Amino acid sequence: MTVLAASSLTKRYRRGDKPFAAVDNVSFEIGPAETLALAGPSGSGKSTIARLVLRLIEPDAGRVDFEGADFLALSGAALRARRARIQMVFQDPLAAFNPRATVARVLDDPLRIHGIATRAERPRRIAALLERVGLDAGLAARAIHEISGGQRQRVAIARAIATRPSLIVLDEAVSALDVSVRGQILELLLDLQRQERIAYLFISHDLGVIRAVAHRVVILDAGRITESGDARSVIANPQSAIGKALVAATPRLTRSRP
Amino acid sequence: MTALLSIRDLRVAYRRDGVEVAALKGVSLDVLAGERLAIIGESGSGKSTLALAVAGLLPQSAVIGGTIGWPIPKSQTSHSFAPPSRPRDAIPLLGRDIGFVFQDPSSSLDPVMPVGKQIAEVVRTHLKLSWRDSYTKAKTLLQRVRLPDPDSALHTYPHQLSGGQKQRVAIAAAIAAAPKILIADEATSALDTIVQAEIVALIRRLVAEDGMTLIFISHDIALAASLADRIAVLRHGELIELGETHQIIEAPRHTYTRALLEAHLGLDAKPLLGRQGASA
Repeated sequence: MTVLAASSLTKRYRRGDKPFAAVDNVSFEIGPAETLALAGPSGSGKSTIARLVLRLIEPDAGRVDFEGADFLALSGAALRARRARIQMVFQDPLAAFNPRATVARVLDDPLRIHGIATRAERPRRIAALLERVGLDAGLAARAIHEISGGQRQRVAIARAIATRPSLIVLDEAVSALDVSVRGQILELLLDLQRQERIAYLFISHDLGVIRAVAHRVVILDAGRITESGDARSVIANPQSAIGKALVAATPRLTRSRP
Repeated sequence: MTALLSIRDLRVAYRRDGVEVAALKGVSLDVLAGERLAIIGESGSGKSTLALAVAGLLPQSAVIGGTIGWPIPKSQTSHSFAPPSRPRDAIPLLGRDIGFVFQDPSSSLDPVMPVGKQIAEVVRTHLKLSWRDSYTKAKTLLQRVRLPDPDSALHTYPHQLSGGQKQRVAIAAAIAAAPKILIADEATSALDTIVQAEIVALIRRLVAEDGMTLIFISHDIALAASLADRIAVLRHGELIELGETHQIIEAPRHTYTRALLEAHLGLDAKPLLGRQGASA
């Protein structure tokens, strides 16, 4: 069973007068509770794929099946209902949310919009969501701009899981975090995946992070898949030129391990 | 090695909403002539504040204490921040004696000036050359930073270049007046991994060729270790640990340094994901 299947996805833009394919005939599948990572240099098409999967933009060709339904054919109420099942977390939650909104407001929106909880139930649900992502329920009254970057990313994750999604697209979701906070957020994501069987489309430029959390990896270059497979095997022994270049360019600590 | 720069009890506070927030709380260290010193830390550690203080780029409103001493030839002076009158050539000048490379070349380069002119301007200002000679030097600099086709690159605008190419231009401008010190403040953080490695290699080569002293500010301990002779670890505005790179990496003395090393997810780190977690 697959949660998401992308087939021959293509998205073309124009650069000056020349058309170019930002995403070129890309296919992949993600199963329940699976993390598929997309890696590649800037401009390789990672974020465009994320936006296609989320249907923030429409492809020029190809197909997206989500939970067994043709996701691109949906519209109106059916699309809105299905959209609750795909969520997203971006790199910078300060840019993703209204900075003046309170944490409660940010979490109230999806519960209200998708009719998940009544007005009376919502404060309790919000408290439970905060607790689920390791935050104090007292944080609900604080404004988004007042809390730390790590707390904001936890709120973004709480918002994403509020609608009980089967897939979360994580676009450089831990890239801006300090390393000490990053580890905690990755642990939280893995814990949620184990408990709720959520699939992740995990976009990152950092092979070290991908190796730590992803089951499989797809390596992209100029909109095309150059190789894919088990994350640790591909990173240990990349076959494509760009895969080799990415591995070679990853900074490493050369030290004798204790 | 002799100290090029002696920082003593450096304190910097910023004013926010009428409240003073301490960014550096009494940092003392020497930067040795010709060394590559990495200053690492997480957000709020004060690493960029330290770089800006050395370059004299702190905002007017910053409250500064302590001294940055420059035992430079002839005028063995320190400038304490208190007295406003200081001998003109006793302190180093940004651009002439210190080159600075910022994180985001899109905002450090002038978007409406051809890159050749931006570099030539630095040459003309600090080396007092004619425009013609300054342009000739600018072209040589573009060759040195390995920008393809330097002749036509002189006339391009920043928006016509990729992120990595823009950073090469910013580096060319930073070293245009042959400064003694090059400060790179998260200069590769906005670049992808492959371009980051290229820019780090470029910085390493230029620093070696010109005998510059490098101050490399980074949040990435592995990247810092790949380049630096010594590493200074900052946290919450304090210097936690300073040592030779191999000592910091292999025998860190401070628990915070150990925590940073543990948190690094390298290609040989223990994966967080249990193998049994893989779905069918």
